[in-house]
Amino acid sequence: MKAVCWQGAKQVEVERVPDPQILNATDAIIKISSTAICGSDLHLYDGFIPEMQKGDILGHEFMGEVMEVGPDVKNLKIGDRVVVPFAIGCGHCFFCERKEYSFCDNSNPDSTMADQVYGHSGAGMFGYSHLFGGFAGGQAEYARVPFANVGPLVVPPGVEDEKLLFLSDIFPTGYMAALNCNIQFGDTIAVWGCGPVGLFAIQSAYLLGAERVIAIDRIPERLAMAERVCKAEVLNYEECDVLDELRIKTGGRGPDSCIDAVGMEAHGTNFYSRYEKTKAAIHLATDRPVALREAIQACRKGGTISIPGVYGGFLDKMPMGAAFAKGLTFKMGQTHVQKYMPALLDMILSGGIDPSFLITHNLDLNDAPEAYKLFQEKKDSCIKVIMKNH
Amino acid sequence: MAQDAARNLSVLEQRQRHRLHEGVKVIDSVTIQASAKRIFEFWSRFENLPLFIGHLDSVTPLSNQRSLWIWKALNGHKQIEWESVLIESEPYHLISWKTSPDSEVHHAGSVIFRELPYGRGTVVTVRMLYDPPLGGLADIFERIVGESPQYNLMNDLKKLRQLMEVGEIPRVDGQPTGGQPEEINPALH
Repeated sequence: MKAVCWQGAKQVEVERVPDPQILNATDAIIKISSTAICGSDLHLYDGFIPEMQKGDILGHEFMGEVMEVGPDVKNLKIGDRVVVPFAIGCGHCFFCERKEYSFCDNSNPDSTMADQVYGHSGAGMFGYSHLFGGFAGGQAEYARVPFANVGPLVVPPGVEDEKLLFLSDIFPTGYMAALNCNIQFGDTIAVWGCGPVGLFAIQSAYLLGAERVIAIDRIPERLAMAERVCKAEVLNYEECDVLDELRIKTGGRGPDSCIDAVGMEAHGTNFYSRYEKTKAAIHLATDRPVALREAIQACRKGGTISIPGVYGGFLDKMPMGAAFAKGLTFKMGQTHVQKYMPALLDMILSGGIDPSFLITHNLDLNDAPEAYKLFQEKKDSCIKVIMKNH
Repeated sequence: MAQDAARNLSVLEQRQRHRLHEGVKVIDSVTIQASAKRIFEFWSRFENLPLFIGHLDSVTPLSNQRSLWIWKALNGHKQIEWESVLIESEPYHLISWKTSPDSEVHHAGSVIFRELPYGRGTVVTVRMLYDPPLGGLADIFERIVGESPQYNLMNDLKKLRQLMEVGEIPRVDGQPTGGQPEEINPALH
C-alpha cells in the first residue's frame, strides 16, 4: 500500500510499504477514504517531538471502511463506515472506565520512555512517535486499528467525509477546550490561535453559552474565517498590543477564560518570542510558550486557562506569580475523543454544525510532501489539508 | 474491621519481606481494575506466568506444590531451568514460592493482592529475589534477570495489567513501516 513516511525533520515521502495485518484479536483494518494533516503533525514535521524513527507512517486523523476484523471484534463488522479517534483507548482500565480515554493505561505497547519523561504514560496514538506507542498512522491506504471495540465510531452513509473526518481529533479537541472553560452565561472567552482547533473552540464556546469570543492570530485568512464563519471578534497580534486590546474590550476585567490553541511553537512578535526561538534551536528549552504567557497575563482573576495546544517538554519563564496571584485554574491534555464523538456526530447530522468549512485544500495522498510544506509555511491560504486515496 | 484488615496486611508484608534476604531484590506494584480473586486465581496457575513474564518460556506443574520453570534468552538459544516449590497460598491475599533446595539457581518470590474500596481496583505488589549462580549458568542468568530486574518486573506487571483488564497485550511489531518491501494482505484486495 501507499503510506506517508517520516524521513527526518522537514522531510516526508509517499512510499510503498507492506499492507497491515491483524496482529491482535481486537484489531480491525480500515481502508482509508479520507485523512488529514493536523497542526500537531507539524510538530513531528519540524522535529519538535522526540522518538521518531525514519520510515514511521504519519497521520492520526482518518476515516474509512472496515475491511478485516480480529476474532474478538464485536462492535464492528466488515463494510462499516467509521471515524477513528486519534488516541487509542483499551476501554477497560481505570481511566477508560471514567471515559478519560486519552489517559489509557494499556494502549502504549512500550511506555517506558513516556513513564520516565512524564511520570506516567498516556494513551498510545496513531502516527505520533514511539514515545506514544509507535502505532503506524492513517496517512496511508490502510491502517490497523487496535482495540477496535472501543474507538471507531460507526457513521451513516450519505454524509460526505468532509463533514465527518474532523470527529477524529480537531472538532472534539476544540469542543473539549471550550468545555474545560466551564463557561457561564455572559462569559467572554479569548482564543489564541485561529487554526482548526482554535476555530472549533470558538464555535464550541458559543454553543456552550459564551456571550463573546475574541480570537487572536496574525494570518489574515485565519482571522477572516474566525470573524466571518465563527463570529468571533478578532485581533491581529502583529497590528496591536493584545493585552491592551483585551483589557479595553473587557472593561478592564479580562476574559473569563483563555484558550491556548497554539501550543509549543508559538511565533509572537516581541523580544521574548525571538529569544524563545533561539533557546529552542540550541536546546535550552523545548517549547515556546509565547501565547500561553499572554493568556495568563490577560485572564481575569479566578478564570480558567484551557490548553488544547500541544506541549511536549519544558517551558521557560512561565508567569507563575501572575497565575497564583489571580488564582487561575489550568485545564489541559489530550482529548478524550471517544467521550465526545457521539454527541458531536448528532450535532453534525442535525445540521447544527458543518465542520467542512475549514477545508482549504482537498488533495491526493500522493501530494503529501507538498501538502506538509504548504501547511507548515501557511502558504496559499492553507488552513486545513485533507487527502484522499483516488 | 478496617484495623484488622490493615494488621493482617502488615503481617503479610512482613512475611513477604522475610522470605527475601539476599541476592538481587526487586519490588514493584501495579493497580489493576479487577478483583483480587480474579488476579489471585490467574497467578495461582503458574503456567500463566509466561504470558506476562519476559524470557519465562514455560511453567509446567509437576504436583500441587512443585513446578518446572524454563527460561529462554538469545532467541531461545540459551536456556535455564529450575524447580519451584509453592510455599504459601492464602486465597485472594498472598502467594509465595521459592526454588527447591537442589536447584542451581536460588530464586524466591511473593505476591500480595490488596483490593481497594470504591472500585479502585486491586494493588498487586511483587517481591522477587534472585541469587545469581556461579559458573557456566551465570552468563545466561545475567541475560534473563540480571541486566535490569527492576525494569523487567515493571514491564511484566504492565503486561499483567493489560491481560487482566483487556485480555490482550498491545503490540506494534509486525505492523508496516517505511523501508520494508511491499507485501499484499489478500483480505484487503
